[in-house]
Amino acid sequence: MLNVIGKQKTLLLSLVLLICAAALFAQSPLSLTANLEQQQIWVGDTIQLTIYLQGSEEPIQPDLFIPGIVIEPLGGTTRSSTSVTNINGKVTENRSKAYVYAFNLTAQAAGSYSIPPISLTIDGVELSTEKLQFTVSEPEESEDFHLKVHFEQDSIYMHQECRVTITLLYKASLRSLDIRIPELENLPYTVIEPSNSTESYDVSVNGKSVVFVRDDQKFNQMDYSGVTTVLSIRPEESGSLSIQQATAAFESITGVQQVKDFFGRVQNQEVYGRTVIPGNDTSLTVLPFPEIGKPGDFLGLSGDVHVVVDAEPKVVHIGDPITLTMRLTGINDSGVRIPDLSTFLGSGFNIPDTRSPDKNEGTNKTITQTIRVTDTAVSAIPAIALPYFDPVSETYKQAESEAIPIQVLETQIVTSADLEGKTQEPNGLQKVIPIKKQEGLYYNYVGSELLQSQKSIWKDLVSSLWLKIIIAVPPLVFLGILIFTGLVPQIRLKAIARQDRKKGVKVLKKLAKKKSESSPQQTVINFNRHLQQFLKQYGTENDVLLLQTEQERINASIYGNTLLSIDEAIGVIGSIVEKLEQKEVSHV
Amino acid sequence: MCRERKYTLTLIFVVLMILTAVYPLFSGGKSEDLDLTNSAELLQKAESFFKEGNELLESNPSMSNEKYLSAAQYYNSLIESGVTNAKLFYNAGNAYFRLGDLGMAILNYRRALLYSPGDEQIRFNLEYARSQQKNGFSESTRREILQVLLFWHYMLPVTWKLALIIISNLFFWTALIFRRFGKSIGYLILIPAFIGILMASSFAVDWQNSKSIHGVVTAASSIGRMGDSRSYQASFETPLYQGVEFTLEERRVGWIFARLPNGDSTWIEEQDCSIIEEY
Repeated sequence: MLNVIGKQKTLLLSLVLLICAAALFAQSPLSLTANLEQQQIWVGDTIQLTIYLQGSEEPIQPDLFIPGIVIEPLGGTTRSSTSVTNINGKVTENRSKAYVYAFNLTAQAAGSYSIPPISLTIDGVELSTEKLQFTVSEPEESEDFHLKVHFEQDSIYMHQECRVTITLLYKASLRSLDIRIPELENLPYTVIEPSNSTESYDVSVNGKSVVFVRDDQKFNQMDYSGVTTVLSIRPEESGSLSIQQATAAFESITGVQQVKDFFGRVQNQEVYGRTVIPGNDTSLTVLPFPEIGKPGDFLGLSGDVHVVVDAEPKVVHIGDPITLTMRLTGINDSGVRIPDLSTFLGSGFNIPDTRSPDKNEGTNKTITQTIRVTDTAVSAIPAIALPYFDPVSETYKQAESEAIPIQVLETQIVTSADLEGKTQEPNGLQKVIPIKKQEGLYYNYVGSELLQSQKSIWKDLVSSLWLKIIIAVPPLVFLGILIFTGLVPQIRLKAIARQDRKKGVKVLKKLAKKKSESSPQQTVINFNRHLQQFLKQYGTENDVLLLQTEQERINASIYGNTLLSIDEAIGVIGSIVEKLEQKEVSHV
Repeated sequence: MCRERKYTLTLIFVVLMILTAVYPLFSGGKSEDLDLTNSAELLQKAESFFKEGNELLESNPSMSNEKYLSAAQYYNSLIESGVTNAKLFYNAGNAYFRLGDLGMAILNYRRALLYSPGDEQIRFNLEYARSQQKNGFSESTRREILQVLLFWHYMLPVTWKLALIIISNLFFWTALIFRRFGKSIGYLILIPAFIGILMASSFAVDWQNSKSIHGVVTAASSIGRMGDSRSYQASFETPLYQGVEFTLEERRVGWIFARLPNGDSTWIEEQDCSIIEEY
């Protein structure tokens, strides 16, 4: 017997060990794979290469070099997941670990390229991806499609606006149009909104959606349908902006195939194929600001610049703050840094080192600065002069504001009355009460509480059982109180009334029986006894109140002269029973 | 003495009921602790990038934009990893706002409000982002009048309404119980009844609205069309710019039939917008 138990223990132990070993081996093994988005692309196209590390969350940063290909690392992220299964109450948690790193590969020349195996050592294990290959083809010219890029001017000065017109002409219908102009990729632009356009389309230009309008045109003396957009650019650096790699990729109809529909009928279906065409070469010369005639205090402003300065208040004590607002309009580069205003105002003013951020809106710039006057001799805020370059006349000019007259009073002496707020402001000066602004963003939240997951208000609270209970408890409590204070006493009273009536009937029957077998005197004695017992035993406080009148009459009859006849007594008792019956009915 | 004790006990009972009823509303959503040290690192990076973006905003706007973009990506990776927190969505919204991506900013603020509808800061930034939206859909006059007349419906957050429903419910029934024992408060009983009815009806409308699906245009611009294909004419003279909010009325393959804030409706390509949904 002991031997059998020992064998069972050994078997059980082996089974446990086997399960543990299986669990260890069941963990996902380490592997490294590389995936390429496409194997066939055109010059200028960008594809994504993904390196996938399965079985570990350790961050990887593989090195990659492919001659002729521009490689842009996009960074990595964990791709772990946890799944929980519940089978017959047995909960199993499966966790898969992974880390993904991605590169953008941009082809600059046609040819066949290969991505060498990428090797990494993770947790002491040597891992390697497989070798991948892809082909880059040159875009091909087509009679049916033309991509045209055109600069409005041949040359401009830095920061000057130049409009670029992009047009795609086509003869056959196309879809999924994607225009790439790598030379414009890092250049900020705004789309000039078309006026009176009847038909517009969203087209991807360098990965961003741009509105194009329908625009039929002639090209090489042939009629084409076309879509056009106009972009406004302001190059920040001088040099040549040469466009040579513009391409348009799209799907166009390459043929027709016959397919059978659900009922077996043969129908023609258009077949689309991907086409990539090159754009024309064009260039724009961006000139630097000329050195000849450049003022020494030139800040880099250009355009048709105007400056307007305003100050509030204009009557102040020494040391009081004045809000100075300088507004520049018509500037080509609103990002130009305007230095400390002490450069322009001279002595007699105290100007802090810092000022609120400049407000740049298109070709306008607003500078706000708080200044303080330090001398009563100051009678005006002087005119502010800013040199700028006018690209139209190609000369340096000067934008100048007007001087603003101000009145400066001696320093105000602060008295106890001032501190109590009783003073009257001289010369119409008003106290500046901070008014909360209704613009700008509030600050970010920080801290680990941001990692605490929440449920939405509707899921978490409104549909909760807890809330339903909270809402239902008060009316239920009221209902309970209503039952205990109202219904239960009434049921009790009804039961008592029923009981009393039965007793009354019983007494009546007894009296009727006594009447037939006793002498009248004895009957009266018996009646008295029974009546007294009836009232003593069954008459409750309520009954006594209810039947007070009847009792007095009976008592008067019985204890007064005892001359009440049997029939009268029976009549009185009968009326009591009748009242008890009415009482019972009223309780119902 | 006995009567005083009875009243004291009743008062304690009422106060306890109010406290227990209101507590869950203001204690915030119950959370599940994530044992993600990785998440803490991602959050730290996001916060750090956002701070760097702020510091560079004046001196180097393009570099500042890169920092904000990195911050937004880190906030997003946290959200995608399963962390659903109003403040996280709010921070992501701020990063997108600074990037000039109003669509994603408004989307994230709206998502944040799903989890914390009473947060004044989120509401403020959402309103500010809306004020920057290019299309500037204004509320219809009828709706503006309604907003004044039914101010409690439009101004109070859901949690406040729910709290008021619970408190007025409690006071109303407690008053009835007192009345049963001969301690009537007269017509004052109508006050909790009135507040309760107002809040319950407003809450019911909010609940119904919560079942509607809302979305935001997240593409730079999108053309609203008269039908569910690019072959249909544009519904408006100008495109719908990023940040336009709408209520989803119908969904077809690749297209969404949207009702805009001013009551107009149009078809928008699904790829141009995102739906405001719980994660």
